[in-house]
Amino acid sequence: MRQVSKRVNPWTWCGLLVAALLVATLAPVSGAPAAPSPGGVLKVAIVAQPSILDPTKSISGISRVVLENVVDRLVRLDEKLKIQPELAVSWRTVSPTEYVFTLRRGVKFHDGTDFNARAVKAYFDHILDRRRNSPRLSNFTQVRDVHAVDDYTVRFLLSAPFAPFLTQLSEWGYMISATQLARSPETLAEKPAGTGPYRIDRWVRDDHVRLVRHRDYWEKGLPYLDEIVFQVIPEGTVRVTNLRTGQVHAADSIPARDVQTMKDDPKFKWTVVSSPGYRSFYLNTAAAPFGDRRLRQAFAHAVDREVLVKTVAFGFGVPAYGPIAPSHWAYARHFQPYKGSDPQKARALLAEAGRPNGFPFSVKMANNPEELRLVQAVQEQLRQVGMDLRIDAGEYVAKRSEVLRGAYDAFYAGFLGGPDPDSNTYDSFHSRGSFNWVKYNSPEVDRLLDAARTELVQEKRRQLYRLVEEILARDSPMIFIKFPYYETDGHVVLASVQDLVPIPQQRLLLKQVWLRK
Amino acid sequence: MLRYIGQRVALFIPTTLLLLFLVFALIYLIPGDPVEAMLAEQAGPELIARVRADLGLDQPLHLQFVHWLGKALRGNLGRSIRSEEPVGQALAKRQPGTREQALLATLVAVAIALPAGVISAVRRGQWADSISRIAALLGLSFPSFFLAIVLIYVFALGLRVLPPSGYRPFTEDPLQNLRFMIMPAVCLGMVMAAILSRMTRSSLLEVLGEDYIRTARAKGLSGRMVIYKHALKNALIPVVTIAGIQFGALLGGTVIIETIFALPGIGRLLIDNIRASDFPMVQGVVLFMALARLVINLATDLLYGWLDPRIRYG
Repeated sequence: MRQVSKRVNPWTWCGLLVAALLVATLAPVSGAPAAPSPGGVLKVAIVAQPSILDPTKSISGISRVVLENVVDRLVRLDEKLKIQPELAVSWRTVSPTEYVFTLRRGVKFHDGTDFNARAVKAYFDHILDRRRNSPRLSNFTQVRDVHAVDDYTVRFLLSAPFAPFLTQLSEWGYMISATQLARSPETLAEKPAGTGPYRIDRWVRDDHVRLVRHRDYWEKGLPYLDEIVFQVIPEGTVRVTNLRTGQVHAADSIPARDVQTMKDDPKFKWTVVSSPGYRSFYLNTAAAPFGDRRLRQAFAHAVDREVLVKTVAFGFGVPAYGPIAPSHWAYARHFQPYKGSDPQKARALLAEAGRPNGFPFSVKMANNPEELRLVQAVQEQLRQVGMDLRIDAGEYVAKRSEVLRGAYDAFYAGFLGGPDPDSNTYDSFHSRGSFNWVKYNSPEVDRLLDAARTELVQEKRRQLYRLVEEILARDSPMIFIKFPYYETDGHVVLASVQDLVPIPQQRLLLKQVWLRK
Repeated sequence: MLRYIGQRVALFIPTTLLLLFLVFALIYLIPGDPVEAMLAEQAGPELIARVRADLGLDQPLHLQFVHWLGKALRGNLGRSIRSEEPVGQALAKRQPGTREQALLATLVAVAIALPAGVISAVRRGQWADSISRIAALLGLSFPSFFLAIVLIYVFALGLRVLPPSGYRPFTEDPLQNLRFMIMPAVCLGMVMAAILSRMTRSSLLEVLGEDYIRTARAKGLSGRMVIYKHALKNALIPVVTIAGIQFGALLGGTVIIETIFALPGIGRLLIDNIRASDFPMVQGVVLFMALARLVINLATDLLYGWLDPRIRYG
């Protein structure tokens, strides 16, 4: 034996070792990815029930969690927020104001009727009809006309070029049965007939929504599960107990302290995506004290966002310096104009503005313990430079009403954002934007935002948004704090749940999900 | 007796009318504008104004009240702004859970309170009395939400004998229904038991001091006989009244327990809709809760009159 081993070349040993390692990695061992096994009931805990499931009326994020699995759109967003085909197999931009979509054939709605160009037209005619007061109207103000060219070709005509058009379609262009829309629109509230992988079987209010597999789903072999039950469990601790005892398979909005322990438990998987929304202080730029730009800049300099995210938010989030989020293609990672805090600069700005000893101001906000902790930490940071932040917390809707009336100094709130940078900027900072609560008015930003909306080349848009962010940092109408990725976009799931890919903004797409037996 | 019933019912009508007005006025006390609450993050001011007009919210207050009253008296409480669900239907659907919860909690309470109260009264000053009184004090001062979390930790997470939360209608699966209802019923029942056992104790002690009890004892009746046959019956009148009132209150739902145990009930319906400023729903729920109280109070008044002639003719 010794002689034999002596004759073996050292390179051969190395080769054998590499081969052994390769075999070891490629060999199917337990725990390695297995083929999906169909069947089973997936139970998902949700914080509140959907208010309404009618896609032409729903506005809540929870409704979207359910609808995502029931209703398809012409195009969809993937986990990287990129546009992918769904009910449209392809599309072309004939001109900046004309899009032509070729539709998928052989697709059936849950009520058995066919999906075709007429259904697309019927949906858009419905939501664009002003008398119906659909909130979808504001999502598609640029759509002038929808024309069914033939059974499987649709032409959209826009009144002006609109770069986020495809993203808007993926967000709000839910395709529902034209028959249901025409004959029984009142049934849409509880059971919209879409073409999605699951159809709504039963909705017991305040308790659960049950979805069952759509047998005629267009994507062959999918979905895997027989049923999905969205169980309403409002209390955080109770959601965790339901997960721990296996009563539900997945839950979101897990209290931070439980996430810490569950992350290390092999029984659970923690999935997280970065949300395109942000948390920020809205400053009323139309009135004293924040009518003075120097005082807003002083605020921006006095806050240390990294410390806030690390300590108060338990690291669940990314410090924010502008409105464009890490999940956006236009996000500039190194754009951190107010990184760290600079109390000296803040004091200098206060002195320059004639307030060397600081000034008092009130912050309106929702009475929410986690948010309060964060604002209290900011309060402490501002105190270092003499700014006296007074908290005015109360019922969210009531506080927001005061903000909408302009009766406020500052307002701390979250913004859900949208998948296109336009959703995070236009309405909030354009002088004609519908949510310009800070009353910001900059002709320069208006011009840039208009240009970014009509420019179709992504690289050019990126540059435009970069300029917008720079001006916003200079003018500081809003003090951005963080891009959260904890509250709504993080899920804890049992290890038996396979292939769950969370998509930002509560898009919990479950058609590819299966349960390991 | 008829005159007495007439008087009570005559009082009931103006009270109900006043109630209807208060409930209507309530929407102006809910913070925030309902249409704004619904749409502010999705739509501009133009759409908000249009929806307000559609809901008739732009009309003068008195016209809105007359309109609402007309419909409410015909049993039409309108529709939810958010979900478009008819308010009456929403109430009807949440009723069984709340009713069952109230009933089971009362049963739990009576089952604990009666023996505890009787033992406490009969063994006055002894250790059994002290234990019962301390337990009652604990029951009163222990917050029910905390008890709920403790029960969930012990029975759902630790022993794994009960599901942590949820609901199944009794008609669908009675056994599963009871498994879901037992923890909420115990949570609510404990507080009620504390009140009732103290009530039973003091009421029984009072009765045991009466002359007719001494007579019964003098006749040579056994202690047990005296307590169960003569004393308890009379002592229970105020206890039954309190239990009835408590039951009426529970029929209005319990916000905290329903939220913790994820029970679809009246309390959660109320709180969710207050948060959303969905005023037709809030009006409907409050009206229901108040009417339930009024009806129970009326029934108690009538029952009292029947039980105790002094009240009828007083």
